Amino acid sequence: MNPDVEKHHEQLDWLRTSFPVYYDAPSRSFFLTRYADVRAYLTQPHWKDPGRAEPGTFLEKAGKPKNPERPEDDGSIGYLDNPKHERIRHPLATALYGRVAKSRPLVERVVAEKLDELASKRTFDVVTEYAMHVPLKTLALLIGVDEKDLPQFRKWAEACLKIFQTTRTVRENFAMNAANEAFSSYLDAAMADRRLRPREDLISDLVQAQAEGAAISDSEIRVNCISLVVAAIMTTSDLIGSAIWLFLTNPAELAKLEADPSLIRAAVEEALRLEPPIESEWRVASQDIEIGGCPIRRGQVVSGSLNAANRDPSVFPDPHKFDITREMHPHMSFGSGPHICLGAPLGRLEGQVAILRFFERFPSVHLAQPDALPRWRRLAFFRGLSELVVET
Amino acid sequence: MLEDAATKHMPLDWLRQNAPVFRDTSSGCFFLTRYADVRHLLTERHLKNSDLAEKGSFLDKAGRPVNPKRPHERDASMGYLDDPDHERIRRPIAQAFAKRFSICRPTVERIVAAHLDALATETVFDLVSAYSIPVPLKANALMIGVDEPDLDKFRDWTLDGFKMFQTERTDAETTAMNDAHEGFASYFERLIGERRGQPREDLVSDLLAAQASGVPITDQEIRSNCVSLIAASIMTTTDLISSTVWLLLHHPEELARLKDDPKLIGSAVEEALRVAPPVESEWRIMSRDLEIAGCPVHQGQVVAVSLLAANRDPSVFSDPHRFDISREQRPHVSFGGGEHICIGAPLGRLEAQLAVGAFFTRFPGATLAAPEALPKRRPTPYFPGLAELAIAVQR
Repeated sequence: MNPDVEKHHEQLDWLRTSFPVYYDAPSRSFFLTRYADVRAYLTQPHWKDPGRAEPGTFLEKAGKPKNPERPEDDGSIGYLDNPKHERIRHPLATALYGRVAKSRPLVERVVAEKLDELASKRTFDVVTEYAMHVPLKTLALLIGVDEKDLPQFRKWAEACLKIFQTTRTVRENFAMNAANEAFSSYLDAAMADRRLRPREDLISDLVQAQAEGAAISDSEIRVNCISLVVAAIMTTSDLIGSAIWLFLTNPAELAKLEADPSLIRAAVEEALRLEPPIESEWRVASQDIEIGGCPIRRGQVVSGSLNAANRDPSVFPDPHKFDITREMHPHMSFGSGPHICLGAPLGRLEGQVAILRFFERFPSVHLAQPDALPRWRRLAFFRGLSELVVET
Repeated sequence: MLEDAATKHMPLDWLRQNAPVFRDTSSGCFFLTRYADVRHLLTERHLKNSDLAEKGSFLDKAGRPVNPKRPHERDASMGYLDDPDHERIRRPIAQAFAKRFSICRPTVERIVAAHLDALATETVFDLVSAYSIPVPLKANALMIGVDEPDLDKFRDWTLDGFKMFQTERTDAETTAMNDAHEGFASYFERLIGERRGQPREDLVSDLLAAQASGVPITDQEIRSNCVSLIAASIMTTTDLISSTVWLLLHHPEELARLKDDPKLIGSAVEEALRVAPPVESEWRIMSRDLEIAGCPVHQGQVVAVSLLAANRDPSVFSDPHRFDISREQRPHVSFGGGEHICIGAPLGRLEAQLAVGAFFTRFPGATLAAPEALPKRRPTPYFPGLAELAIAVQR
């Protein structure tokens, strides 16, 4: 394990042993590190609307992200509670899962096209030149962005991703809002177009569902398509980058995968376990409860560390080891309960194809600087490499 | 655009515009000409095993090439295999190739320099036979493991073996072709035996070492793929070197830019690859029913893709028939795409860059000996490389 990760996990291990229900005074929230606590808490129907959080918590300060141009737009399903959450999530999930079930050829193609372009390079950055492109293009085409609008879409997506920065310059803020609005208008036009001329894409599926009586409004379709893009691109890209890094630094595991490519499913789960793209998940307690003997009041914010839960030694023996043939136990990386990651099947599919094909195409690939420390991005809640330079 | 305009590009441009998914009844296959369709198809993991092709298609009629001296031997070249065999065989070859490629540059430079030295006193010569053929022949054959004294024999086998791509052959040509295939096969059979006992610094030894360490690849698979690596790499790189020189001599303003800034050699070779792909088309057998641009295509049907037409699609390359060595680079499809993408692409590129760059440095006054003459091309339909290119050197 590398020193950076070692230090990070030393702290989490210490919390898990000594303060499994830790109250973090600055953010006024609880922080859970034991697998059983994280699993149980996230599985219960606690709240996701930041407006329900106690005054003074980080959530109450942050609030729901809003497009200032569209006051009628509510938050995406990630910020909604029942009954609204279920009403919207159901048609969205039906359409998305139907699409994902048909999208393996699309993912294969997006991956192969990128690999074809990289074939002329001896050295390149996996993160910016490969991992990022796979979810960006896949998702765009799956939703229904025209191939010719992809460069534009890429700019919007990159600007929208700034939402995850804790601080933004005035310029970044302006660019983010402008991108959000431009993408919103694009989706409005696409919905109108697909009502007349349906295609093989998610927007067509959603307007079709709406026409057949699903209770989902145009505004809700629009907001959730954007949040799908925002939530999926960086996380899937991080999964691909981290998994490739794990294999390059664990050659024995790569050898296992090469000998038996069907291990790719387990390999992606193991990479997700060790390096969850999202490090923690929060809920607002919907009632007074007790976790590990600690009383928690309704309205208090509790975060579960997916990272710490995934390395709980009582669930995963030798938890810091990357072992693609370990006896599988469900990790927490997609969260749990009613808000479990909607895009998980797509992220898994993209991860499996992107990682397997990468090592098939470049069987001699290695780190350009094997002794350098990995460069992790500095962004709260999200874990991913900012750069991973390899030689083929 | 020169001489190809009327015979090649006008029909392809017409097809691209009017029948981008063209059903060619004579060959029983579809023919794609739009860039986007071609790239999609190549990257969607369709099939290459010609046994699976629709009855009546040209692939079904042609079948896999068979050496009449070894009628029961299945050609195990990667180009005819699907997964899991393709992946199993391509991996160790790609690994060995990457290792050899990473150290090959000095050797290629030495071979290029030696052939330029040999031309130093000539005033008129045929670039193809004196330079474009011997440089990749020597570099690639030595990298694979052929002994230096056997190179002349290899040259004959390569040229005779290439006749398999002609649509018509005389009886003498057929005999020479079959002898060449058997020559290659028995040569590598012997070489594999020798290198197993005494490994050297070459690709065959690397593959045998991998085999000995447990990598599942048989002797026959090593042999088949060495032959196809030779066959696929030498003539294509030869054609790339000839066509790059030919294009530059026909476009003096582009040549002048290259001479001003030798770093442009990389993009000059890419541009030559784009306008004159050594292999003009590729095919796949459909792994499932699908729709291409609204046209239903069924599993098992054969779809040919025109790399030549895709590379000149005006929606991707502006002013596509213009040879412009500093145009904004977009990936051309001259190396195919997807899991079967040309494994030798990095080597072909490097050899062409070194060979063409050094040629114009050594002979800055080189011109076409017969500037008005139409180019002489080989009679092989998908590999229309120059058969001859007379160069005059002013001193």
